[in-house]
Order: sequence, then C-alpha cells, then structure tokens
Amino acid sequence: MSATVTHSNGAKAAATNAVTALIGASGFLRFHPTGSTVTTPGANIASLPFSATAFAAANSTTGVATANAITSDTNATGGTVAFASFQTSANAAIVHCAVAASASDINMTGGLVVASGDTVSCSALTYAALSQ
Amino acid sequence: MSDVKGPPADVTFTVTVTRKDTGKVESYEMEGYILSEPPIEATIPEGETQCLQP
Repeated sequence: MSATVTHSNGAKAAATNAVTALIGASGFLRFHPTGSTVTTPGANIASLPFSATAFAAANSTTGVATANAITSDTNATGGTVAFASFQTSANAAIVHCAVAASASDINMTGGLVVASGDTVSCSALTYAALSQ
Repeated sequence: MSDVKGPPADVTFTVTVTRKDTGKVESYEMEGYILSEPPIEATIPEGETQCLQP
C-alpha cells in the first residue's frame, strides 16, 4: 500500500533551508560523470563556487530556494555530465542528483559534453527539498 | 546515500557552456533527479546462520 505525504508550506520551507544550510560557507556546485554517488562524488567535470551563502532563504509558500550568484569555472576539466552535487567547502556532497536536459537550444543527445578548457556557468539554480 | 532518501527533491538550473575552441555559447535548461539508494548487500559471517523468512 502506498500513501501520499503532504507537507505544510512552512515545513517545505524549513526542510529546504535546513538542507541548504548544510552547504555552509563557500561551497561548490560540481558536475560529475557516470558512477558518481553522494558518498563518493568522484571526478569533477566542472567546479563552480557558490556565493559565501549558497542559497537565499526558501520561499515561504513554495519551499523553493534560489541560489545566490555562482562563479563560473573558466577552465573546466571536461567530461560528460551525468550528475550534479552541492558540496561543502570541504568537498562533502550535501545534495547529489542525476541531471538531464529539460530543454535546450541545441540537440543534446548523448548528454552534456564539456571539453577541457571550456567555461561552464550556471544560473537560475533552484532547489526544493520536499515537492509536496 | 542515506541523506538523500525520501521524497524526490526538485533541482532546476541553466548551464551555459562557452566552448574554448570555437567561442560558441550553448545554454541548457537542466533538471535534477534524486536517485534511490541502492540496496545494501550484507554478508553472513562464517559460522552464523541466516534467519529464515516466515
């Protein structure tokens, strides 16, 4: 038997804020190839520093938090992106997820391939710990 | 991966890649998916017996 769990707006916001707080000061958004896990994120295809405070406070209604400015990686290591992680300054992954294109301006069959030396930027990063 | 168990989280972002060789700028709207933790494989030490399932 399955059941649906629904959280209040306050609970959703609190959950998101609790998770983003774990990133701490000066964390990173990092991209990884296949095989990456939360405990062993593995190689970094690109490493983008968060602002000193990674995320603004979550929206009190939706529980969605938006990242503050993220610094570009102007000399990426390169590889095929399969995962992304939010990491602390000590390289511990707090959030780890598989990533895929929801929409793009060119065909991305085979995944997002970053070449060595490319510049990788990220904007409009949002995160919500609880979806309902 | 115990710290990512639970309801799926929502992660969205836009990645922009500026190619070093051509200077071409490519933008991708991305989504993140929290994956379930793979099952833990346990082994039974020598000399011990496995509990039978009812």
